[in-house]
Amino acid sequence: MALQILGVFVIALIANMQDFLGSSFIGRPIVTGCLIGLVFGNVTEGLKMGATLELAFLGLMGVGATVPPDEIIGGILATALALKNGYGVSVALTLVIPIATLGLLVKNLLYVVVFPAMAHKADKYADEGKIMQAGNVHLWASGTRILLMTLVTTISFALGSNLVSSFVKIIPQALIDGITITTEILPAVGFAMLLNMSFSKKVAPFFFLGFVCAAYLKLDMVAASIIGAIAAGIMYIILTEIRQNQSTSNVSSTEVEEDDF
Amino acid sequence: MTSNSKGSSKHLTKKDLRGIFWRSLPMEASFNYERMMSMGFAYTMAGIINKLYTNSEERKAAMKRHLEFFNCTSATSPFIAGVLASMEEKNASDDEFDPSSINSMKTGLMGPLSGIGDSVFWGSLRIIASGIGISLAQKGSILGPILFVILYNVPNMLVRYYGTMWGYKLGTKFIDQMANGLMNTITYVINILGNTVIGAMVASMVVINMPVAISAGNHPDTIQSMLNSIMPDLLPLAVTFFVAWLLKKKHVKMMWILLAILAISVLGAFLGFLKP
Repeated sequence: MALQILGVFVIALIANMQDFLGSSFIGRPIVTGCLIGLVFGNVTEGLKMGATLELAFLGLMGVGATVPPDEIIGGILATALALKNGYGVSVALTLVIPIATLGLLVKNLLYVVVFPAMAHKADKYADEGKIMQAGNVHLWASGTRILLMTLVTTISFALGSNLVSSFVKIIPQALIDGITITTEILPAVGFAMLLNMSFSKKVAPFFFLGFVCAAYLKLDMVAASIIGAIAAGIMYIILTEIRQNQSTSNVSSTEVEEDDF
Repeated sequence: MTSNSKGSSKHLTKKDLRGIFWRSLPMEASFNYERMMSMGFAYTMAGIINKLYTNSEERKAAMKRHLEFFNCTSATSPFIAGVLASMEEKNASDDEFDPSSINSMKTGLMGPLSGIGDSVFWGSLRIIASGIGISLAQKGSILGPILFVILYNVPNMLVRYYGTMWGYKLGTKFIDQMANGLMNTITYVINILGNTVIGAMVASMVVINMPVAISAGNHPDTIQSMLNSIMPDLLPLAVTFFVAWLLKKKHVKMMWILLAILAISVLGAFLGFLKP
């Protein structure tokens, strides 16, 4: 058991580093399934479960009622529980849903409170002229996330799915909803900072052009960017035309003056 | 040296660009909902900022620039970093250069590159790699996960590496064409593109839903439907400008705004005037 817990810890650590290592998808169930199989002494079964779970997380195959919201925790724990207790993959996956929900809650708390606070710390370092420290805050944040998510996975495996489920049931739904709502409103702060840097009366019409593209016309970001580029192109042509006209009229007026002499 | 030189004429070498590539790998790991991938992006740029700027005020301004909002597909982000590196290089040596164009360029590139990146990497390459990997793993072959990782990551890493290099080259070429007289026009035009993209992002990425009934009956009007009939996404627009005003004019600390949003969201969920 102790070896299995250690194995799950190491695999969860590697898997949660996927975003740190070039968003390389090494935490996907197809990879973790194989590794868990290796730890539990049944590689073939681990591979097959990994493949089934990968399909489920791609949305190509229905396994159980719903698919957990976090494929890293979901993949690792479902395979580990299935191999340890001899469940089928779909049973294991259903057991994992509350744990993966807990994982998502932890992640969202990092994303709405902890990491923004760390970003403000980075701002402070930048204000003090400590450029490299400001950059390195990213490493601290990344490390926090990797370690925390690894611990959630490992502890959940060690305690068993029942205990975690009953814990998750205590968390009020309104709190979970409230944090989800925060994740939807918070980007407004990021955009407000961008606007404070670049917004002015001269670009306001184009800001609202982009807004209307998305709000009324429901265009996606690529379409809105293309329209923005077209607007920029039109303004470029107009402004350079005006410049040329000004310079040629200047030339002709000096010529006229010379003629007068 | 020309008259508009600041004296700092440091140039970026291939080694610096490789540094951007390496530093871009962990880009997505500190994602958050306030500025999304900003810390990762700032980490990516920290090396060259440290090298390019000797004036401490300019160093600070450059670093703060890259701590602003950033969000893009991870694989196509190094290209943006490459383009911006060429602009930082120019800004460090040329007084005439308007640094506000750097963030506008960043915002302008985010939209198309995340669209292309998501459909190529998430939509296509990932599906192809998993399809092949899954079919092998189902038969119990260990080649399944190995091929999955290789098939996805060889293009992923190539696009990241060459994206950095091409981005820098393209950016340098683009800046060279910015003849001195056209600098203001081009800066303005980049700002147009950037602000169009911000406008679209405010409408599509900020979501506020207030399903509170304000009239009785079988189909009661809600605050949301009333606001939608005035203008869709009016609340995200209002909140964004309100926060911008708080930050700029009232100098409210960002942490308070953050905690206020969290408190209002949780309260809204408990009392039912906000829904996810």
